[in-house]
Amino acid sequence: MAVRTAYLGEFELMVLLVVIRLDDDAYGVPISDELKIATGREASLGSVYAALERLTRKGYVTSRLADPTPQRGGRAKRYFQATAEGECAIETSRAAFTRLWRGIPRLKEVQL
Amino acid sequence: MTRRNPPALAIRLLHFCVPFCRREALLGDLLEKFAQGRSSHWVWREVLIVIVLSVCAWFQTHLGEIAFAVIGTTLVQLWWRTSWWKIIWQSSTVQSLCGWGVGGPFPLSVIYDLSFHAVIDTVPILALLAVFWSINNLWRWASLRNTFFISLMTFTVGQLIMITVPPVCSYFLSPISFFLALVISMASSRDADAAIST
Repeated sequence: MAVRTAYLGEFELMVLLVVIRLDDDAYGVPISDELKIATGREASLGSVYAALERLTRKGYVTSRLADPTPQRGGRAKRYFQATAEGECAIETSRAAFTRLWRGIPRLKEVQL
Repeated sequence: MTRRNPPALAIRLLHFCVPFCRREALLGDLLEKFAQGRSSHWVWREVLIVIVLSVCAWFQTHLGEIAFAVIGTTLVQLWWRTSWWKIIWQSSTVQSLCGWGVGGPFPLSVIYDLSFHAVIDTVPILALLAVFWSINNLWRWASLRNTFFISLMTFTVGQLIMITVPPVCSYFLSPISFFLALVISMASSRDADAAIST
């Protein structure tokens, strides 16, 4: 039986992919920097955290608070990590996108 | 070289509007980016985005309370227009209680009048919330006490505003202050319950 997963929005999908790419260094600043490199658009920290909170509620990411550092005014970093459910949701999204792409012949030649 | 500081008011606003569990890491990230060369304007923009998103998230997570408050406000506004309520309001006991402090010296008479009406408005709030908490197993005497004070403050502020605005506006202010008192009381009781359980 297929596992029913929560819907993954476009921005959530991008954030989740960045969290997986950054691995052990996935916290607010590098996530937003990576999103800017990938999309060419500035992602505000507020929207990144809002997406991460939604992903946490869906069980796709977990987070841990590191020790506070003086470089950040004594504020701790919150590191995020994708869960197995999160990786499964990405696979489901990719499969859905691939199926949709197949139905549009003129987009076939697009190479990344 | 002078050391730049982020806009203090923006940081204070963030402290005020965002709960601690989400605030610390976010604030650290803001300060880190500011130290990398971002402008004060950027910090303000980020803080405003965070606040707007927090308000939207609050509405999303409290949809049940908002729906209950809309229904409760409508029911109570209708109740206040019934003949039963008019009989209770015009009864000699209520009228003598109402008139008791109004004859006193200024400003005590005004304070009494405002408080009396606020207490009268608070009674249906407490009754409605007793139902809400019983349904959701959130019943606590502390919540009842907090609600009493929240409602008193909301209705007193509402009545003070009513004095200063044209009469046509006061028609809308009563349901708005009632709705706000209900939503804030329910949300605070649920948040307090979540804080206790964690």
